[in-house]
Amino acid sequence: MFHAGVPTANNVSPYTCVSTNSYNTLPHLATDSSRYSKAGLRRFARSIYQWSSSKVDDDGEEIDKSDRQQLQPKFQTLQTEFSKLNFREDMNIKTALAKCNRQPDSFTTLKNFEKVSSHPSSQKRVIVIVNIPEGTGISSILAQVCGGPMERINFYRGRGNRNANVAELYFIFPEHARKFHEYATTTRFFIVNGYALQVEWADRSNSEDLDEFHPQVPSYLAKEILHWGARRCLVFSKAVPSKTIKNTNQLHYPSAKSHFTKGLDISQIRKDLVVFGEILDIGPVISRKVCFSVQFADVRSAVVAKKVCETVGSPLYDQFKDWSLWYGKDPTDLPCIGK
Amino acid sequence: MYNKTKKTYATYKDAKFSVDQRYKIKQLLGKGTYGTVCSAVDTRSSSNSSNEEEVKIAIKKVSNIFEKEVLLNRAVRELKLMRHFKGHRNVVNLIDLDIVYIEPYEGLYCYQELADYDLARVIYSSIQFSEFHIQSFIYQILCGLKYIHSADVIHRDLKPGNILVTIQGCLKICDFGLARGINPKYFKNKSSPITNYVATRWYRAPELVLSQKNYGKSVDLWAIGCILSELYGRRPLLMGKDKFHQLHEIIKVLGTPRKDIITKYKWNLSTTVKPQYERVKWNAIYPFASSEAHNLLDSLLCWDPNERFTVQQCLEHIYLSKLRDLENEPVCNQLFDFSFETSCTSMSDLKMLLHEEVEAFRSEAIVNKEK
Repeated sequence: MFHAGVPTANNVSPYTCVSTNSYNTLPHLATDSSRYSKAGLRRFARSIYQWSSSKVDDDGEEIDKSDRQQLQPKFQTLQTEFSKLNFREDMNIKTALAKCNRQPDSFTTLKNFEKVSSHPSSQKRVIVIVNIPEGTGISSILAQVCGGPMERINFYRGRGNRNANVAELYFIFPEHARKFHEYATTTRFFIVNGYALQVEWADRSNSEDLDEFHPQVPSYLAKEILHWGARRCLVFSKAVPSKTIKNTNQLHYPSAKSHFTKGLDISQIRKDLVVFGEILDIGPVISRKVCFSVQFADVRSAVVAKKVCETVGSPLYDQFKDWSLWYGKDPTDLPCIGK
Repeated sequence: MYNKTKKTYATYKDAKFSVDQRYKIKQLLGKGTYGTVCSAVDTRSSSNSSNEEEVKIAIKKVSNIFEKEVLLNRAVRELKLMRHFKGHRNVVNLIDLDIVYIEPYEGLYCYQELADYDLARVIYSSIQFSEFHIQSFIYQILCGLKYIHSADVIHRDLKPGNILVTIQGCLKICDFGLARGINPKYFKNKSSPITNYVATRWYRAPELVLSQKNYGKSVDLWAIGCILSELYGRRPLLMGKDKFHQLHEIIKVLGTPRKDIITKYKWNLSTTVKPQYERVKWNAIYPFASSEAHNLLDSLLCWDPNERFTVQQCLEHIYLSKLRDLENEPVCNQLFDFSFETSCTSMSDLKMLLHEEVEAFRSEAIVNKEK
C-alpha cells in the first residue's frame, strides 16, 4: 500500500503520462514503502563500495595502484554526493519531484502501479541463457534479445559443473520476460551468430542465488525506473554552435568540416564512467548534435552516473556541464516477433 | 512467423504487393529493376496490449524471378545467404519468407528487419560525426564483413546504401543480391570461378573496373576504403560517370599504378596512363582525420589487391584499437555451400529449390515441441 502523500488514482494527474509501452503489470515491484528506504540507500552505497574496492576494471584487467589512488577521491565524492542527492526518508514522491522542479518521464501511472502491485500473478523475471558458445560476447547476445528493458545483466564465463558460459537477464517487468521466453522457446528466431541459444527461467539448477531466483526490483530503484524513466543507457548530447543546418529532409552533401567534431575522447569518457559500474558498450548516436550513448550492465550504474554528472561540484559536473544527459532506450526494449 | 493455419492475404495494388493480413503495409521505400521494398508492421507482435510498439519490418518483393533464370538464381542465392548469416548483429536478419504465384503480385517476398536509416541517408544529411562515430561505423561494418568472409562469401556490393543504421548507431549489412561463395570446395569447374558482374561503380575496386576475372575478398575491402573516405568527406570520393572516368578518378587520387602491378595483372591501361599522376596524400583531402585514419585508407585504397588489408588486418589496425571487443568479432561456424549453382541448371530446378528453401525456413521458424 502507498503511504499518505503519494499520488493515487485521485491525485495522480500531474504526473500521469501516456505510455508507449505496456507497463501495466508490475506485480514484482516492491511496494512496502513509498519512500526511499534506508535499505535502498545502503544497497546503493554497497554497490559503490564494491566498485571502489574492485580489483579489476571494466575490461577485467587489474587496476594498478596509481589508478586506484587517482580514483579514490572520485569514489569518496561520489558517495557523499549520492547521499546528498537522494530523497530523504520522510519525503514522499510528490514532494521530491517538486523539490527537483522537474517533470518525471515516467512510463506508467501510479494508479496502474498501485493497482497491479497487489496482483499475485507470476513474478518471474530472470531468464538464464545456458549454452553460450566460446567466442560469443554479451553484446552479440543482447543484440538478439527483445521483449523489454533490463534491470541488469550478469555474464559468467565457465560457470558450474558444465563449465558453461551463462548470461542472466534481469528484465524489469515480468511480462516482458515472459514474452521473450515465449519468443525464444517457441520460435527459432533467437539465434546468435548461427547458434540457437537455450533460455530458461532462473531456478535452482541454473542460478547463482539459491534463495531468490526472481528477486523484486528494490523499491528505491523501482521509483527511479517508473518516475524518472531510469534505464541502463545514458545518452550524452551536445549542440554544435558553429554548424549551419539545412532544414530539409532532402539528401545533400554537407560541409565535412562543420559536421565533424574534434576532440571527443571516448577512452577518457569510458575511464570516467566505468567507476559507476560495468559498461557493456559505448556507441555513436545518430543526431544533428554530437551524441553518444553509454550502455551499463546495470540500471543502478546509470542512475548514479547521471546524478553525479548533473550535480554541481561533482567531479564529473565540469566535464559534462555542456552536455544534455538523459536515459536512452534499452536496446532490448523491442517488441518480440509473434508466431 | 510460421503458422500452420491457412493464411489470409491482403493486397496492395499500388505496390503490387500481396502479403499475409498480419502485416500492414505502411510506405513504399524503393523500386528498382530487382523489385520493390515497402515498410510494414507486424500486427501480431502486439497482440497482448493495445498500446505496445509493433514490430517494424521491410518487405522486399523480388519480381520477375519466374521469367528470368538469372533473377531466379540471384533470388535463391540471396535467400540462402541470408539464412546462412542469421543472428549476427551487423548483418540484417531475415524474419519471414513467402512466394506468391498470382499475377500481378507474383514474386519472392523477403521479410527483414527495418532500420531507421541507411548509411547514405546518414552521410548525406546534417548528422554530426566525430572520429569516434566514424571508427564505430567502420568497426561494425568490418565485424559484419569478417563474419561474411569467414564463410568464404564476398558481398560484392558494399556501399552506404546497403548498410542499415539504427538511431542508436547500430549498423547492419544488407542486400546479398550480388554476393556469392568462393570456396573452391564447392566449384565443379575449378577454373575461372567468378564471372564479371555489375556492382555500383563508385565502390568498385580497380581490378573489377579493369575487368579482371579472378578477384577475391579484397574487392569488399576496397569498398570499405571508399566508405571510410566518404564518412570523412561526406561525399563519395570516386564518382566516375562510366568505366573510363571511374578509372581516371582512381588514378587522380592513387596516382598512376606501378608498372610491376600493371604487368602482374596484365591490366590494359595503355589508354589511361597518360598523363602520369602522383599519389595524393590523404592529409590534403581529409586534413581533420587522424593520421591513423590516413594510414588505414592507405592500406585499403591501393592498386594491388594482394597488398590490400584483409578484414582481420583492418580490425587489428591501431585506428580501431580503442573500440575493439574481441568477444564480439565472431566467425561463421560453417562455410557457405553454393554447389546448387552448378547442380541446379534449369528454371524448374531452381524453382523447386526456391520452394524448398522457403518451406525449410518457415518450418524452422517454429519449434516443434513434439520432436
